[in-house]
Amino acid sequence: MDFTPVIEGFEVLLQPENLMFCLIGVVAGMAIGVLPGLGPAATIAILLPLTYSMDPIPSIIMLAGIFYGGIYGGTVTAVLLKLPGETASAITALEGYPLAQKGQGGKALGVGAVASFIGGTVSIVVLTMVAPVIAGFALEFGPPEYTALTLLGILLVATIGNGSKLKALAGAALGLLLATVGRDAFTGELRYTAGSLELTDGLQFVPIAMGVFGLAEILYNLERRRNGGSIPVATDRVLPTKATMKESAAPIGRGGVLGFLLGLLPGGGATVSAMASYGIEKRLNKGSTPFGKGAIRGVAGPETANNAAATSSFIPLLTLGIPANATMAVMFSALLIQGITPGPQLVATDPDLFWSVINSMYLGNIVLLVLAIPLIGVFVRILYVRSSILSPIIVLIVCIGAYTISNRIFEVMVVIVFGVLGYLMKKYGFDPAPLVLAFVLGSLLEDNFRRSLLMFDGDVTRVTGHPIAVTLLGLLLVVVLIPILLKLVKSRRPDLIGEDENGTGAGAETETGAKVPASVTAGSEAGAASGAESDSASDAGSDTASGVATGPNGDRRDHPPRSPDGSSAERPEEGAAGSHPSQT
Amino acid sequence: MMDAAEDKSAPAAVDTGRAPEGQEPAPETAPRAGRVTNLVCGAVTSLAGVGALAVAMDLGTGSLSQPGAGTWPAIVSLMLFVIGLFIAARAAHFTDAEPITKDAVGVAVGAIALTVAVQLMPLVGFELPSVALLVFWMSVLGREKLRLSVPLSVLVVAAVHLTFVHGLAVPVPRLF
Repeated sequence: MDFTPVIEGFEVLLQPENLMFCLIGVVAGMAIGVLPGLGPAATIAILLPLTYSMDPIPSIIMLAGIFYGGIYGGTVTAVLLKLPGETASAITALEGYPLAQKGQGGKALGVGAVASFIGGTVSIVVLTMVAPVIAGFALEFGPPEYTALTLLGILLVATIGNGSKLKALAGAALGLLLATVGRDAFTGELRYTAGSLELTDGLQFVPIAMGVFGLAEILYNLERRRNGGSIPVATDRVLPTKATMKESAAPIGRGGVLGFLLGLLPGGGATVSAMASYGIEKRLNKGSTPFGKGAIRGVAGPETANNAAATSSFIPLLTLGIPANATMAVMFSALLIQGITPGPQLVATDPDLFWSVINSMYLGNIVLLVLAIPLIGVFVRILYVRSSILSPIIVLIVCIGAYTISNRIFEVMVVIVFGVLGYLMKKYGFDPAPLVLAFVLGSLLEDNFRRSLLMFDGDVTRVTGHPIAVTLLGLLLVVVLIPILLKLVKSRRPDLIGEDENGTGAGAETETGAKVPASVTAGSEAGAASGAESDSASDAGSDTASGVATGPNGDRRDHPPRSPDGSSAERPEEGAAGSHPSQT
Repeated sequence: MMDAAEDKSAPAAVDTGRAPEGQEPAPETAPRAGRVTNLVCGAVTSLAGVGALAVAMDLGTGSLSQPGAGTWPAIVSLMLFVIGLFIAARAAHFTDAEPITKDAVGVAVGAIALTVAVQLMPLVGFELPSVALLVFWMSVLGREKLRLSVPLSVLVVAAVHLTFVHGLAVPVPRLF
């Protein structure tokens, strides 16, 4: 492999101007990311307008900063408030919040920052090696392969994802339908425009993402928390000590490998890997602190895995042009706005831009580490600002940002419409992530589906001449059949498989065998978990039903573990996080 | 597993959804919507599918060898319709929906205020509607005191003006 473009790319990145953009991105990403309920997808969507008027390379660098800043912002709220910004951070809260309660929140945040850095960096290094290879392979893909791949991606996101599978599939179908609005690329006919000129070119992705992730969350919080925000637990020294790092080293190593591999999966890579890492660390724990009481290994492993997975999910995006989750869908859109079309052609046709995207991730990750430790106190201060003040300010920024997309009020109205739709979806248990992802992939799927039909002259059996497509369709079938088979087995041998997954709100089984209650998985990219227990195939967390508190971000709340008499079990500690500052 | 039956038997899970002044409702007491709500969710999903299918049929579904503009929307609409039916059929099994409480009035008022402010922006510039919106959200919906919300709103709008109009040169409709 020729590393010249990689090295040349660094020369550009390390210019002071670009470093400053990265710094601004990380700060802005953390500032928005620490707001409870706003995950990385919402953070990027809200801050995207900042990059519109910039050149591609500084804008990519800033986006990388926002991406990492947004992810770490979720960790801060997970540790200090037990309100993870995204589902994957819910696992961090399991040990991070007990640590914070013991006055060691700084330790958790410091280890979290280092673990995030290592996890992210490991993934970027491997991504640097394998991305061009996969992209080269993907160049052979034609319409049937892309049809199968896109279908598989949407189905995985809907089924591995959060909450009820049926409702997730409904969201995905709605997303596919929304993607058809506008002029048909094949026949030129207008579809679902209702005579509106603004809809002729179809709906744009960014206002939809801003609506269902950003505004919807604020509207949801408006209903549930009209009296301010939670008080974060005070933090101590953030810089990890030698002893802490020694204890965390092995979990970080294991988490990095696990996270990278599982992050390649569409849908729930980051969450699944964090859960799996937690399960492994719990089983291997020989430390003095039991899990559930603030074991630092339970922060280090999942945080590394979560960040490694978040970064490795760039691989399907950059090499195949397929976003693997909602955050990647927003990144996909952000890159498109800059004239960069992620996909197999990118590395061949525009290597400078391709390597800029990858190198900017190194930079974003490093800047985050450098900034996170000294500035953590500043970001924690944001948590003290009441949501009654912060929410309207974010709403205004979202509105002005939406206007800048096309300089039309129409886009702002789209944000409002989708904000209300997103609010209703959250209320009724529909995860917005499949809708958003299906919307992004909708036109790609339809185009390739129709091209395939034209190629085969309507004879779909001719797909058998395309082995990759057949393999992908086979996988698709497996994804559909596995839950049905599991259900059958469960009905006959309930002792073999655990409790019901979603739909009943109890939890979701993942392909690793790990099991998370719907409350954890309900979060999606935009929201957070409410009650979390990790229970990997074996034992992880079976006794860790610590019930990560649902906060303003709420998402769908699940019932916490209950005692046999039906009353709510435990939660004596919740008073600390659940109290609110009095009104001034 | 927490199913609907257990839900009913668990007194802690049932409350009005309103929190005491100054506190958010505890997650464990967040009310769950019942079967009817999920039934309506399924029905609305199916109806959306039927509506979209009717439009798709009008567009023309063509054939497999010559797909028309309505082919793909028809397939997706049909999926939506069927999924809606499944949701309705399994309505009693879902516990992930929440009922709309009277606190949702604040959400509706907030969304309407936002819409009005946005519609005013092209007419009078973004500054005045933005200040009015911020003051309204902070003081009426957020119960902040006016002596805090008014100066804060003016400051925020000034900062947004400086950032977007002067810093990023975005042609936002503006008064100044």
